[in-house]
Amino acid sequence: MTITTPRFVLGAGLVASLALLIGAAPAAQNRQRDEVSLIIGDRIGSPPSFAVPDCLALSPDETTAEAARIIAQVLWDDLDFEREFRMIARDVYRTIPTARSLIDLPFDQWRELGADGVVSCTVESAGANQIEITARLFSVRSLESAWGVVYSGTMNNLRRYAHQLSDELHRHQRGLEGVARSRIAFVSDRDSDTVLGLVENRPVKEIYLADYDGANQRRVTVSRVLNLFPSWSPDGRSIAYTSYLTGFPDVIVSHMFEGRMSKPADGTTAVHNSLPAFSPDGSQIAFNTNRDDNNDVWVANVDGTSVRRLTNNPAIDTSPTWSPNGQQIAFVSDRSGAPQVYVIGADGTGLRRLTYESYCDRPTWSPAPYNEIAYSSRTGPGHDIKVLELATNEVRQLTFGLGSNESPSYSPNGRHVAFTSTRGSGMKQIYTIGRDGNGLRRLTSVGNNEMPAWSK
Amino acid sequence: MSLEELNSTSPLDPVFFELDQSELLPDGRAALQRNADWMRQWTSTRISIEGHCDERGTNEYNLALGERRAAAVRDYLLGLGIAANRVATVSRGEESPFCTDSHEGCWSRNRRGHFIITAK
Repeated sequence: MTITTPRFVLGAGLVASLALLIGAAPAAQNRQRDEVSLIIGDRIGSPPSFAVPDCLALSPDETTAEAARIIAQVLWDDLDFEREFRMIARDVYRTIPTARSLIDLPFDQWRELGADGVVSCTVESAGANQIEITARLFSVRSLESAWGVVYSGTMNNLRRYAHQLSDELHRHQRGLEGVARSRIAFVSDRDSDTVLGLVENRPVKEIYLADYDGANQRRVTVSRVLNLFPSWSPDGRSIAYTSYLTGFPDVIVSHMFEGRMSKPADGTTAVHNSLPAFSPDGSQIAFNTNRDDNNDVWVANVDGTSVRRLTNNPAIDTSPTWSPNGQQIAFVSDRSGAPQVYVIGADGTGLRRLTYESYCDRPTWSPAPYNEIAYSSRTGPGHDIKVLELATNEVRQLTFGLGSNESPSYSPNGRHVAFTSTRGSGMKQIYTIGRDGNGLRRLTSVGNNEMPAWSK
Repeated sequence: MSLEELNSTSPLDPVFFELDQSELLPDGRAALQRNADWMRQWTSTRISIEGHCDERGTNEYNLALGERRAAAVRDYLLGLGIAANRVATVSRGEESPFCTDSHEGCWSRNRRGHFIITAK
């Protein structure tokens, strides 16, 4: 599916005619002023309240009507996810008359419901499997249009239009980089009709992809072996993971858009590699290897050249993660007797211990502007997700003993963490939670699902 | 007898570990003595030692711990005179449990060095 770039963002002429239609004060005469002046939400201390009613279906067919409902629902969910707006529940909109057109809304009723902003949208069939979507954000108080876009493209993935709407609206109204178009790679045994091996049933785990909200789950690998610990390249075009394709764990980089795979860590029956992590510039991969009969963190260029040691200790050193500027790598070592998080310069100097707990693993360095490391910490029979603020050394806990919570991964804007939890049924499932510990969502339900990796 | 049939008779004993540990226990060393005797009797055989962990650790650390357990078992066998080229190791971390219930009786079976005969 391709989304065409917006053909216009609220042209000046339209703003003017719109203002006339709804009897509002003269609106901004050009886009520049419009963007600056119409940020909805000036109540101190509380986020603006938004409503997203179903889009108007401008074509009479059932498909367009369905699209009009799906796009509004997904957009509502996307906006709700970032918690920048207080989203008014969609089931209370029934009392409000349907808009007569994109711009002719029952503003009085929306005001009574407490809405500060209403997203109005239309959906129109544009030929075989083609659709055109127009959306506007209106200020209920000033009756002005604050923002607007037009998309056209295929009907193949309607959710994608809503995700782009959400990301653009967040950027326009809040200056926020949304994550609605990001994806999460993860590991699942859902298609594991266990392969009968030499002795026992050999479980199969494959790599899967999902949209950030858990929609569109689909399998990436079809190797019928163990595939673990996916990690995204910064450009989102490659996934590195640990695979038992040869019978032994090795790092595989799947260049998805080029249809090829590579093995930069150069594994053999004796040299085993795992837990790859792309450097922020995408040129290098840090990984765990048993080279020299000792579990250490090594680094290689993605093309397989310049394979070199980073840590050197007889203990286990594993689970590397890069700092956003690529100059440091945090990792786990049990050199103190139990696994703890350490940090070291990418040049191998400046080793420092970060955690002093019973058992810590899978550090994940947040993207900027946050400077923190999420990790799993043994807190009882299981593990919980904690976050270490690097500037203050303060630790905050995101999960509290419900099941075991492991393998955190940050959203590209650093505001959310995906992780694995056994809460509920005891099966492993992928959840996301805000970096403040609020807004828990479950993404998966079929089989066991674990080791999430959020795209960059 | 095929390799699969041979393995299904489990002629080589597994070695068990304590939680988060890769040190061999007395029972484990005794099992390795018996396994070494078997390998000296069947001199053309080759084996793979799988290092396994229970679910209470984390998947990431357990992959390395399984590697260390398998290496500990291999090193002991080599010390008993078994040729290095007959022994491969591989960690399966906590990914291939022998027992999937969540209690110590099950966990203790999963913390093991497991033997697979790969050549007769």
